[in-house]
Amino acid sequence: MFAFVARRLLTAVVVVLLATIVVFALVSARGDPLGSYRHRPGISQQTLQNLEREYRLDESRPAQYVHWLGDFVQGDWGRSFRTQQPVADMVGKAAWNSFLLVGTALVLSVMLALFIGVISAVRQYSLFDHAATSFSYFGFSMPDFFFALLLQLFVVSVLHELLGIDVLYVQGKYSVGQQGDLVNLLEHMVLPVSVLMLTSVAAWSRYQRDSMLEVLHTDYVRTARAKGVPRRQVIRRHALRNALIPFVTVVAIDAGVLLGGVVVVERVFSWPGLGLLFFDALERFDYPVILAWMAVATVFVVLFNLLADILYAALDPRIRVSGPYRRRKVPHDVRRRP
Amino acid sequence: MSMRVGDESGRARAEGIDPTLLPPHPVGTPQDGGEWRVAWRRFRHHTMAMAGLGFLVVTLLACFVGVHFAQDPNQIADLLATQQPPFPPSSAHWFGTDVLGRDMLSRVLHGGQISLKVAFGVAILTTIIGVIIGALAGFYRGWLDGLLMRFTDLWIALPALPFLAVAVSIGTIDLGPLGSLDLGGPLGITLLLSCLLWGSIARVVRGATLALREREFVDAARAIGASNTRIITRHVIPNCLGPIIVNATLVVAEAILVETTLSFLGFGIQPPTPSWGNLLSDSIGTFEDWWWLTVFPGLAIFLTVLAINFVGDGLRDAFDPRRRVRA
Repeated sequence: MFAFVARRLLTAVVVVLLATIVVFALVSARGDPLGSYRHRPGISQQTLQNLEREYRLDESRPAQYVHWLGDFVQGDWGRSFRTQQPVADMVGKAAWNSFLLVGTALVLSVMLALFIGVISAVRQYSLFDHAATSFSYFGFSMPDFFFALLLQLFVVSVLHELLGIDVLYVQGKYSVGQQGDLVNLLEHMVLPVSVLMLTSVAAWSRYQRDSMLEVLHTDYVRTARAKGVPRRQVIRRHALRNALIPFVTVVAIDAGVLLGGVVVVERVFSWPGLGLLFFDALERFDYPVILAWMAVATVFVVLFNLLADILYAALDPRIRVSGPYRRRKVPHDVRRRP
Repeated sequence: MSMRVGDESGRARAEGIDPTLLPPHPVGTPQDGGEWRVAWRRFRHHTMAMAGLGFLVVTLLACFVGVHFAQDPNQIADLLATQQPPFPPSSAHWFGTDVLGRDMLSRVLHGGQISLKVAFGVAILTTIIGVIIGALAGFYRGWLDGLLMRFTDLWIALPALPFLAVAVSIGTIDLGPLGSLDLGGPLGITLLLSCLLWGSIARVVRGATLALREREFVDAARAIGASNTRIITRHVIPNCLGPIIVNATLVVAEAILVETTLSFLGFGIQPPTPSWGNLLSDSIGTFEDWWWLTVFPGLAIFLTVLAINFVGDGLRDAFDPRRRVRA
């Protein structure tokens, strides 16, 4: 197990390194980071040179990358061009806000998806199963932003104008003057969290249904039933436990992807998280913020993929015995014979 | 008939590919035509898939043929409309007009042309890249496999939307003798999306190839002196066409969603060129009064992606001999 984790960790580090090179090349291709400063009236050559030195823009690209990477790893992410605040603080604050949405959506989605998936598998082809299938197709095919707009339309036109109910908000995190009020916060969170949940519940419930169905048709489940173990107990002890293994893996992989969804959702709902931070930074080309943001996002995705691999191996002992193809060396192998 | 080696399907499963997606006997044999006919017969019985296919054909015809009978999307259809709130749907303007008095039906059709061209372009490109990389990695294994798969992981790990947004904001790049490329134009977006979406196809093809390369017919081909290139192109790739086609279909759906999201956020296709995504972003804030500006482009995306997903499902069932066909 240790060797397995070590090997995966090493590949993850390599992938992150390669990805930061791509990110760095891309962001520096975007243009001169000091472009907005250069055209500012009254800025002296000396100031510009100092800025160039501070951000190491006078060095070659590879040297810039190495220095940036070194600083990044040590937690020194530089200062924002726009606000002059440390980038790490800005990202940290935004990340907490995004985590509120993603974390809530994650927990609720897992519970809902498990519930829907298990019931549809146990009652295959029932009315519930068909309804769940239709819902999945709806969730897969609905673009996040369109769903978000429809929800806003519903809240404004139907709840607010038609029925006069004002419980849900369509913009921001708190109403003016209600900072820190938990109920107000929750009323703001309902819509963005629902949008985030749509795709994940659609995908995960479907996945759980398939993996549950597969387990329900295995020999050991039939044996357990034949021995006279009650149906409920077989479902809970034998089937569900084994069907959870692939489910956990998929959730871990998709949790990284949820971070992508949050970018769109925050934009539509003006939620002050990572997504808004990114678009603000991109509009004014706030170079240090964009670099740090992209690097952090990459690390997250790779981290969750790694977590998925390790969880899968930890839960299913068959995986980790060795690399799947170590077992047998095929004699007539790759080389082309003369 | 099929002689399936148990070890092989276990191997394929460990790679994350459903072994039942591989055909039971190699194609390129006399049953070849039969295989496709059987698949088509299964597909035809999949009601939702046929409905999806029908919807797609109608959409494609409308966007690429019908559009020539519609008005110019940038022409102000009704001078009176420019001074007033947009017209709701009527017999003259089926989808209404927008704030500048332009015909929405025509704009949705033109937007569809761009969005669909990009999506199909991405599907073709990702399939080519993914099949080449996946087949090489799965067939040669060893260090090449490791190298190519880490390369695949790299592109999957990049945060797609932010990556695309930064890339598009670079604008036009100079390619030297090849001329220049506008990364925010349809071609640029197609190339960028392809960069980010080929990973899943590569993984699927690699998994299938790992299983196929151990099959008897590959040994047989090698025994009669076939080269590796010939084995890959004539024996391995034709035998994983099923999973490849299913995956390509799903990439079309994914590409539509990503492109429209990007355009919606303002980093994709730029106005005045319409795309389903930027039509929706134009409509923000106009919502409660002029619902047709939001609903028609949104429905176009939703229904098209839904139809593609149904077709993908039908194809999966059609190429999978063990899966029962749902009525």
